[in-house]
Amino acid sequence: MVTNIGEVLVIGFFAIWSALCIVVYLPKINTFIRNIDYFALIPEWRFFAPNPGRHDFHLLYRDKFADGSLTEWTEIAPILHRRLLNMLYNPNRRRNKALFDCTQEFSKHVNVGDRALELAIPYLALLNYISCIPRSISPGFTQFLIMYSAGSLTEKDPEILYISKFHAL
Amino acid sequence: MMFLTNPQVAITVVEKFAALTLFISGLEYLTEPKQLMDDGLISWRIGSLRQSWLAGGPVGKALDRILSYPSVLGIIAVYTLLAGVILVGPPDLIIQPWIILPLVAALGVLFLRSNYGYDGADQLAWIIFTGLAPVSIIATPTTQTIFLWFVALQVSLAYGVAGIAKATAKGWWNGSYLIEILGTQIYGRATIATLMRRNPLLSTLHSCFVILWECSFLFILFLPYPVVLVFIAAGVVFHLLNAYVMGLNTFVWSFIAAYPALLFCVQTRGW
Repeated sequence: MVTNIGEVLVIGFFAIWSALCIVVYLPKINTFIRNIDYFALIPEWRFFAPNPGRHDFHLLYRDKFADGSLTEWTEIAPILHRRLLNMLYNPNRRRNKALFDCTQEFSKHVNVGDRALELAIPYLALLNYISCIPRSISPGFTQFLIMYSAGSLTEKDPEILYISKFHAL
Repeated sequence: MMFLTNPQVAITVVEKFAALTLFISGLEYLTEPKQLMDDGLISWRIGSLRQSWLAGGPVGKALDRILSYPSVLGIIAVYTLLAGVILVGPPDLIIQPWIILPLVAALGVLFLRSNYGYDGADQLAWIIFTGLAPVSIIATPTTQTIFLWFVALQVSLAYGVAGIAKATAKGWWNGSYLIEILGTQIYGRATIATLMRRNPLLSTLHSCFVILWECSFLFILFLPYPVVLVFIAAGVVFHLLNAYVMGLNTFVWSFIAAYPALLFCVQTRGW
């Protein structure tokens, strides 16, 4: 039984929060809520549904020197080996998940033909990341490449999603 | 056998499992902090560009002091320490506002830092502790009960919505999506993917089970108590398998954290 104003406020708080957690699944309201949910308090639970990510994205980069010569493409691969201990403690998953989130978000920008792609956060994040990789020789420029493949069960070659311009380092 | 019918006891169990999620997560950040640096994928330098108020102005400047590297490690250390206190502390201590509110503040600013690297386990633990914040201030049986119903609703929605979404996709019903996910580098295991591909019936049955099990959570608050126990036991096995196969280690604890709330609601619902 509700006995004081504090309880009424708490009940109101949870009622509003619960309602938002339900209406977020309505397409017309979804965008509005997503735009103001800075603190990730309104979840959208999907768990690989309806269309799960069935591709691996591959991030590669290469450098250009002042004389125009190019390095080979180098892949920044996720850390793949998982041991039984990683069922409990898996510190590499943050890097892998961040790489996955970034490349997946980037692919959405590419797929919708974003004309301001080079100003998009995932573009800047990837460029910042590859630009800061330690090199033994200092090149003048770098560029990155995103490819996608259908995982370990296919013989098909990975396909190119996007090749960036060269950017000065 | 009935248990977890006392709201304070149920909240204590919810809180301890959610704290375990955060404790592991915090240790993972602190032992592998490279991605949080300015040259990492979860850098504040780039993450702050998402909103003009994050990148500049008084709020942006204040956040810059605590979210830039290495200051952010202090925030992570605070929430890891508080999560550790909750893990080992007595029930009366771990519901105190001076434990919960700093923890929520630390987690909240971290969510402002970047959109990358978080997962559903982080989000559910964050929601549980944010919900506990007002309950820690106004701690009555009524507010505690409302909080437990809220957590039960979250887990019901989480599985239920995911189940309905899967049920709309043919690739989930025939098991092909499962094989393809297991074939990816980030969430897969090549040996299990190969096993599933050689035995497509196994994949189909597994997929159908996941769809039906997840969908059932939309109605779980209306099901008989013994049936709920079976579904919850299946959930524990499901998350342990996901931890092994997909590397989703903290999902085990964050979703198990919600199960005591479900058990409390089902046992005390009065119908």
